[in-house]
Amino acid sequence: MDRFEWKAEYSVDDATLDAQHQEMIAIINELADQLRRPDVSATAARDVFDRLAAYVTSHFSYEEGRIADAGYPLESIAAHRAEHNKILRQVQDFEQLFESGDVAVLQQLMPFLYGEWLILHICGTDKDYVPYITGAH
Amino acid sequence: MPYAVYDAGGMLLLKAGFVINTEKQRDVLIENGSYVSVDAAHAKPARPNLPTPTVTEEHNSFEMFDLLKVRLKRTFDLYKTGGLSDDFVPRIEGIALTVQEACTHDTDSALANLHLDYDSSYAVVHHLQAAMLCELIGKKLGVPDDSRLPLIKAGLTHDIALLDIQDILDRQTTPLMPLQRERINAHPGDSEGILGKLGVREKTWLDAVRHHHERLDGSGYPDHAAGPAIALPTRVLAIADIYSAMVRDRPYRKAMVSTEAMRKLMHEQGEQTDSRLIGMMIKEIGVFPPGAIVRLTNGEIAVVKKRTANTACPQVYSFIKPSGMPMLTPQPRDTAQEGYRIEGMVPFSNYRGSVVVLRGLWNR
Repeated sequence: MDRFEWKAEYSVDDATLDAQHQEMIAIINELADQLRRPDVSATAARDVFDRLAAYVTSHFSYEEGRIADAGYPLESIAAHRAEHNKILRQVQDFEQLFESGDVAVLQQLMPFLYGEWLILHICGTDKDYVPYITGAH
Repeated sequence: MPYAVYDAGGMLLLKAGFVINTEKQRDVLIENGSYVSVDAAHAKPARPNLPTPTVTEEHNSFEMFDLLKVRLKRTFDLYKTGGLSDDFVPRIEGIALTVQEACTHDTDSALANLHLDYDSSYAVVHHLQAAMLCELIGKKLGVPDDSRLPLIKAGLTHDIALLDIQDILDRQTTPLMPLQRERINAHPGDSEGILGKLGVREKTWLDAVRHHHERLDGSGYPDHAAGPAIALPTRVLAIADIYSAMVRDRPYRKAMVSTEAMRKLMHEQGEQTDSRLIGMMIKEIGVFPPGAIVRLTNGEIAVVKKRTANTACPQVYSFIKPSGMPMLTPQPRDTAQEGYRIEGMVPFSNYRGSVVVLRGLWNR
């Protein structure tokens, strides 16, 4: 597999959220490109963390607001927020290890972005709010 | 999954032990083509686990205030739908005790929570913030713990008569209709009346609610009380009410940053409110209170985390680079150092997207 691609089944039926989620695929691809190089430059790798910072900032609070407006139950929003907080803490830990000189941590970042973030969160937890977004609930 | 998954080039995609929750997620994996052969040749040495954050007691007060918002909202909702009778007073008493506990445990985190809130309803945050300020000023005045509770309860309920129209007022950009103006003018007395019907008997609680719009120069309402006729607890609530209204967005104006609100309180309200109490409040919450957003001399944007002995130099964490780009991990900065001095405050509304990163500083 050369490129990770956006699939229709990732959609949460909201154009803005889908566009934001597509940025996660783009970040995963950027990281994959770097990991495939013989040696990763620190500057290029830092770009991945910068893109993640921009992603978190533009997406998490927007999504939390969007699902609140859609009438998603308060306790579900709280759980969703908690998952966002957990993902953020984990990715911050990766950044700290990287900044402390541990470049090999980037190889662990990949299964985190792909497994925890894309598959478990975007294709898992995020799917739970779709009926509220579409008004099916 | 019992084994790790790599792509054809040997890049680790999923760790062994990764748990797929739903069939949909499994399908995504298969359709993505990431189900590639896994053999021992790809086995890589296990890394030590990443550090897991420890929950420290320090952050409890921040989380306590998150729960307080839910509890107060629930109480207000029940009141609005007529679902409350005997249990109103015990509910408010429970919330007041938790406000006191959270403020005693960690004032910085309690202050930060409400300054950083942007999505709870005005009614909930305004009442909680007024209650918190009543507690902090009361403590500064040396009032014993138990005796501070009635004023916290007054803070939590002082605009109860406006709850049914608060949502409309929160959105209305046109001038008030005559009927709305009447309701607002009558709300201190109406609130006192409602609280009496809900079973409130404490005089300090009821008096402070009835008189929280009285002003020292007699220009207030509903009784045009003046000077010494306005009791100390009422003066405290008046200031707490004005400050906490100023620092929130209203339909007709943007929120003021706290330094601006304090300056306005000092200069414009000097004749009307008790300036000694305003001084006490500023001394207690700081010129740059926790949760305030500030610009540093190096161009970074930071959030105030803790007050220090020097009110001009609190402990801060930068979260926006001088280039305007967000940081993934906020960085501690020493504002006593030349390059990191605080230049001024900026409205939180400019950086709403960063709220998840900022809350992470307290939620850890």
